[in-house]
Amino acid sequence: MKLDPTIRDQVLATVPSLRAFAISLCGNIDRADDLVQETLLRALAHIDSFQPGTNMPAWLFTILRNLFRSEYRKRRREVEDADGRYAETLKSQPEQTGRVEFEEFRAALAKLPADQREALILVGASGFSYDDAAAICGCAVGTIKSRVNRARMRLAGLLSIDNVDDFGPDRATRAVLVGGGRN
Amino acid sequence: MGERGKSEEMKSRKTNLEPDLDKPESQDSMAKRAHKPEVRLGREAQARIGEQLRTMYNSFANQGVPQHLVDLVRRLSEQDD
Repeated sequence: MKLDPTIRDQVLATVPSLRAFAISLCGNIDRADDLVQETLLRALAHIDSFQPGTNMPAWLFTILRNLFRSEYRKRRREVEDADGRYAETLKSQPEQTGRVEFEEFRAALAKLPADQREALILVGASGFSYDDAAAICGCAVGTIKSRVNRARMRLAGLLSIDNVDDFGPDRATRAVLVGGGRN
Repeated sequence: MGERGKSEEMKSRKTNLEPDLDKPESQDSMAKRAHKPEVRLGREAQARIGEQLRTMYNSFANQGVPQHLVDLVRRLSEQDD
């Protein structure tokens, strides 16, 4: 039976974001494309298990994330410092990843534990709700929130982003206060 | 005798720094310990991180999809069983 064109188009429409997620996780364009290809093969082979009208991106992202996890676990047994390798990959292939100005950010992202990195990307970049992200990662909503929060804290530290108190006076006011109102 | 007296005196002079090991922990402090709220990043810092993250992510998403992946989806969706 041929695939419903609407479903096919939904899959196609999700591929750019799926790919962006894969690149963010893998840190390598070629590996990301392999991962996306595997994901699409699996998804289309099991398209009957997708309930039309439900969240297609969430369904595809779940498949990709699970494939990445099992692949990552396999690789981790082979390589001692998988995360270190990820960071090295990003550094050594700037032409492929293309945007040197994100180098610092990507290097910092690479230093996060995988759980935190995926949670942050899903919620902060892919645009999923905490509920959807929790479903994709197979954990509780509270766990996702905690991971996202920790990821942000860690990144802020790595990127030397000042943690200004929400309810405190703003920077300009603080500067004046600290300076005693002079200059 | 004198030494023991001294230690008794020191015992009664409790400082706030030392935990009161004689009394059972109060419900309140137990609850506070179990559900200690996580420190959260300020809004401004969160926004800056989010902005960089999304700029990076969108740059990947806007690269366009390699043709072989588009072809793959098209091919698989045309297949007759």
